[in-house]
Amino acid sequence: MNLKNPKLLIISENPVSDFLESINPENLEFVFTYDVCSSLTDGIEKICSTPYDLVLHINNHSFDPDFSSIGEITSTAPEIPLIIVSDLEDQKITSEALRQGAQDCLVHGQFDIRLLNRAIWYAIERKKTERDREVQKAFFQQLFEKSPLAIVIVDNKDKVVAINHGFTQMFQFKQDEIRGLKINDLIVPKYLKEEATSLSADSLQGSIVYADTIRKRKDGWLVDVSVLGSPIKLQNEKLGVYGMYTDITTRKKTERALQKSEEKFRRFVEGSFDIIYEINNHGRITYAAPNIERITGYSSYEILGKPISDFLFEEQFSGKRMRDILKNFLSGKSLVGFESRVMNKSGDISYVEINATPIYEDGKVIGSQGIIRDITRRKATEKLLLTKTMELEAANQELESFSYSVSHDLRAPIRHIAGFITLMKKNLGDDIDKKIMRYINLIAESAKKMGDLIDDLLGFSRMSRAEMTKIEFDPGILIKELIDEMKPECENRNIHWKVSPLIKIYGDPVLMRQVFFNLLSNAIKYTSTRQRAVIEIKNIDSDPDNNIISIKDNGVGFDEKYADKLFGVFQRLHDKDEFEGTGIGLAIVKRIIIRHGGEVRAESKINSGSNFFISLPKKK
Amino acid sequence: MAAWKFKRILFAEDSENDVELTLEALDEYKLANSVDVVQDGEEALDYLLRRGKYEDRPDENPVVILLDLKMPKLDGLDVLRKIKEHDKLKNIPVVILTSSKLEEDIVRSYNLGANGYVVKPVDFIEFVEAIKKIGAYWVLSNEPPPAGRAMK
Repeated sequence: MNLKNPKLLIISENPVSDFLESINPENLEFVFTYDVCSSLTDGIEKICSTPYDLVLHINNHSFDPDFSSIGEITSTAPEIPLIIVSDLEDQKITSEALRQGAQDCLVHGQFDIRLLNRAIWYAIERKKTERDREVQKAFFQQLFEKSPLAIVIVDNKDKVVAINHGFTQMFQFKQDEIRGLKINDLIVPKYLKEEATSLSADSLQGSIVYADTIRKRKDGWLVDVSVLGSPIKLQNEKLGVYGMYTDITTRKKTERALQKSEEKFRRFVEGSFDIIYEINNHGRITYAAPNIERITGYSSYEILGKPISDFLFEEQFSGKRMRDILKNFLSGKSLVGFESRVMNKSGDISYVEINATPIYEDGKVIGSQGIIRDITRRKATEKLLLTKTMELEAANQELESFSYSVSHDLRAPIRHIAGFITLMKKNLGDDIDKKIMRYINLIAESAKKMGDLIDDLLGFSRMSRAEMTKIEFDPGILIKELIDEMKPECENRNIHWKVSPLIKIYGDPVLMRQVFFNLLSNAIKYTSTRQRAVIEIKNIDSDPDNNIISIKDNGVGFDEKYADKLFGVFQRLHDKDEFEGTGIGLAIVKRIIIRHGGEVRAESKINSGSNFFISLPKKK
Repeated sequence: MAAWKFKRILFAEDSENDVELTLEALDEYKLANSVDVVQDGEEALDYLLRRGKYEDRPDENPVVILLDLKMPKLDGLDVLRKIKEHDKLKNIPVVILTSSKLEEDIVRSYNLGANGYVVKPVDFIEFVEAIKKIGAYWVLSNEPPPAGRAMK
């Protein structure tokens, strides 16, 4: 475009030379060159093919009274400035021409060449400015309209000036229904009015304000939004505010889910009886559940950042030991069942057990997290148990010395009585009173009986204290050996042994030998009155956890109502004249079986035999 | 029978009743006169080492020592330990003669070097049998180590 010498298209029905002469009586130079068309149709065609700097339309009012030609020209070439020359002087006509897009409207006879030259330059300049403004406006308009954000423009009274498509989509309002209404009356839930008002005020004052908040749709539905309020100013005049809204429902939903999950795990951590903590690789506490106050007396906030070793009360713990433990952590080792002590604010000591695992970040150990368990009560119980065990050991010791004194001190006088009575009998010779002889014999018998009782009692206490070494073995072999050993006792007896193959038992072979010996000798003893004794040994399988062995005889049996007395020390259900014995055998059986964790019981009827059942736990 | 009088039996026993019953039993083999009785462990050591009232005893070890376990002052196990530690005495056969059937006593006695362990039976007839056997074996059958000298 040559602005020094712009190129015009003059559209005129009448000859242009007449017009130009009429405005240039002094024959001055034109600032422009020009083409001429005599009709609007030709003009439009020319405009399309040639880039003119301006169109000068010399209009005849009678020809185009309502300026429809202006619209045609401006719509064909909106970038080309247009000057109308009217043959009528009418304010209305002028205004209409400008409104339709002309840059100027001159009236015939009221201007000369100078004025026209100036009008041409002005029109070109004005068009250019107008055009720039339109481009700017288009830039803004597109941004405003096409933005995915919901945007509202309000004036400085908070009233809606414009909304974009995004706003309608988000809040369901159409521009026409809300223009001029106060924005905060439209989309702010009642309980957030105050917050919204202050946001509006702040941004009107010139601040850019952000907020994550909640807004209301036309249908009342609440939407999570992020709001950006930004002031609109023209020089110093506060025109209004932009409000831009982003839908953050999804983000909020995720955040809420995250928060819920965080709360859940926090409840686990904080509600746990154990204390959950975290330390960094310098041993400083980076997290401690609030219940740490219970054992340290310090709140979890007070404790943050302090070395964990400060709270562990262990003389040897600080310094090197702590460094060793930290080293372990850094090499990725875990701490399992580490016992220590904690001293609280007021100096009380609790026992704790710590289990911890290292925390990795990018393959490097950056700290450790673990749980501290208060084991003070367990420790107290352990201590009590230890005391009790020691007391028990002391009691056992006492029992040993009692046994010793029974063995030595009680046996001696009995032996002396027996000895001297025998000597007395010998010295008196045969020639003594029968009554005295009977007394002497009774004393001797009693002494012997007492000696036997003492020996049995010692045997019983020995069985109770003997060490147990449990192995798995076949009791059948043991029983066979015992039957062989007892052959001398069975001489002149008709005994039918029925020994079935037996399942292996788990027990101490020496003690179990005693059990079978006592049960078998009982069976032999109490069948002695039978012409043909039958002694049967077999497994009874009725219990998945225990081995049950039955030892059954066809002897004299016993009255079952005394069954509970059967296994007591020195308890006898038979007359000693009938069957010998001190009544210690079954007591020893019961003691040994109980020490194996098993049970023994008996079934019987007078004169129809006895059946003894021993039940031993299977090897686990 | 010239050597006979040197065949002494040392019997350490604090119970007078036991002494009497034991001597009675040994007398069956006419051994009662060969027995020297001491009442406690210390006296037993005095006898063996010829100290105090045994200073003038001939320098001859007994052929066997019958040792009770439970005695005042030094008990049987202490005496046994001292005998077996002593070069001049350690070859003398020692038979523990006691009322105690405790396994610990039996084990400890053998560990200290006892040559026998006899539990006194309650029944006198059995008791006599036991004592007779001891006497017959250790005094009559067994050849004692050369008198007063220990083997090096």
